[in-house]
Amino acid sequence: MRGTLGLRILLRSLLVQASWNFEGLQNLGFFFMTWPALARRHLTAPDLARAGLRHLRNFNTHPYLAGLVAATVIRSEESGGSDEAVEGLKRSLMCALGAVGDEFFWATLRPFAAVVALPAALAGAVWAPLLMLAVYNVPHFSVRMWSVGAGLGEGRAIVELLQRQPLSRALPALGAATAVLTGYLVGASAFDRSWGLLPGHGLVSVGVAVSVFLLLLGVQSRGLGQGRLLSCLSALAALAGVVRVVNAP
Amino acid sequence: MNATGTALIVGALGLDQTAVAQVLISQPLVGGVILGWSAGDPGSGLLAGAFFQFLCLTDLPVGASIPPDTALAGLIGVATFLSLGHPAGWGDQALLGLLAAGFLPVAIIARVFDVRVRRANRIWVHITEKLLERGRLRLAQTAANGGLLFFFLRAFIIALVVLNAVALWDGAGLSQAAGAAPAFALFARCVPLIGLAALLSQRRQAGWPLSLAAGIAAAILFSRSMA
Repeated sequence: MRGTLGLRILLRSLLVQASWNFEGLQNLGFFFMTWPALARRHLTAPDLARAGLRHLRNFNTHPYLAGLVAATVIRSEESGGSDEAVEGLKRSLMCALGAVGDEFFWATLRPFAAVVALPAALAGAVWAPLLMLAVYNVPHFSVRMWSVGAGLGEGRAIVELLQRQPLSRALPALGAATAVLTGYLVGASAFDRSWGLLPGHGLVSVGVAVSVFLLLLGVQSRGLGQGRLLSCLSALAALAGVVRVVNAP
Repeated sequence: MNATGTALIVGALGLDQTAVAQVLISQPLVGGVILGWSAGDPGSGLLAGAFFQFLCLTDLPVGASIPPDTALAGLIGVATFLSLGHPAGWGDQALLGLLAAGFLPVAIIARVFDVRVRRANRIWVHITEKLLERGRLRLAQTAANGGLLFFFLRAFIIALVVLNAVALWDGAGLSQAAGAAPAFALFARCVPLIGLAALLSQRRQAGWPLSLAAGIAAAILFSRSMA
């Protein structure tokens, strides 16, 4: 990373979605991230304002990789790229990185970090949230730091680097680990006195939990999402509760 | 801690959901323990946080889509659980089951407010543009982060309304309705399985039955070894 400029972009990238809006999406965040680089170009005040306005155009990507786009754009501008070329590079990067980041961080790493920590949480370990934060944020901040440094260092060459798909390679392993931990949680909940559907009956308890889980999985796989299922079951619980209260002696 | 203090913490934690850093402190498991600590009962915060975390394993903010805000609903669920204490006749599971029934409406309301905040945030685009045109460069940078205020207020106000409603209600009638507790306790015991099934139905990949079976076998072996 190029010293203080990289650090400033990195810190400012934490606020890239501070003013997320439907008009320009993350445009205010992009402007805020790139401002330190614009400010050190010794432009006249009107030119600086014009450069700032140019960076207020629509922008949207995965927030953790926004620093990479900002750093690459800065590097390309400083290398003398034309406005159109830099804008084209920005657009192509933000679209590609948006999809990669959503798939890796939101859809894979976040659930993985949760299912890693949940067994410890159910066992009453108060440090379980720290485990979740560590599992998630070590890769998260590593990617943020690497990406800003790579953007400033590589410039346009970053496209070739990204074509090697470094994040996508980890997806199958993380997906399999999430499925194993899901199975562990289903099994462990069967034995848990607080959370088991029929605790204290050994393998029968596990059989009940697995059967209910597979039933719920089948129902959800056929289009009845978590929200609808939750609504149906909570309505059933309320109905059963009312019947019990009304029929109580 | 009173409702306003708790709502302030929820408002601050809620910023992590979209506006600041997104390091997952807004997730119920992490935020639940923080709320529990502030209420002097981290154990209950952990229990409720883990419970609501099962319902936050899936909804993903892919691209510019805005799903129901399950994380904020989970945080408010934990705060409500802590504020209700231990009503007579209602165990932890039954109370969590009751709160899970209100989870989805809160998540949907939070989403509606989220959309409104994102619409309202365009005002910061116009303010920033005007400030840049007038050469007020430093102020333009501050205005670019004005949305933080709206995002904070969104979580704070929803939490404040829910927690004040709960404080006014004060659990009245819960002890008379204790007969309903077993039904909600059974529902609560299904909630982790609902969340895990949602996760697997969304993230199924080749060989998942084998991975699932391996996890279940590991749980059986672990429980045997502990026994």
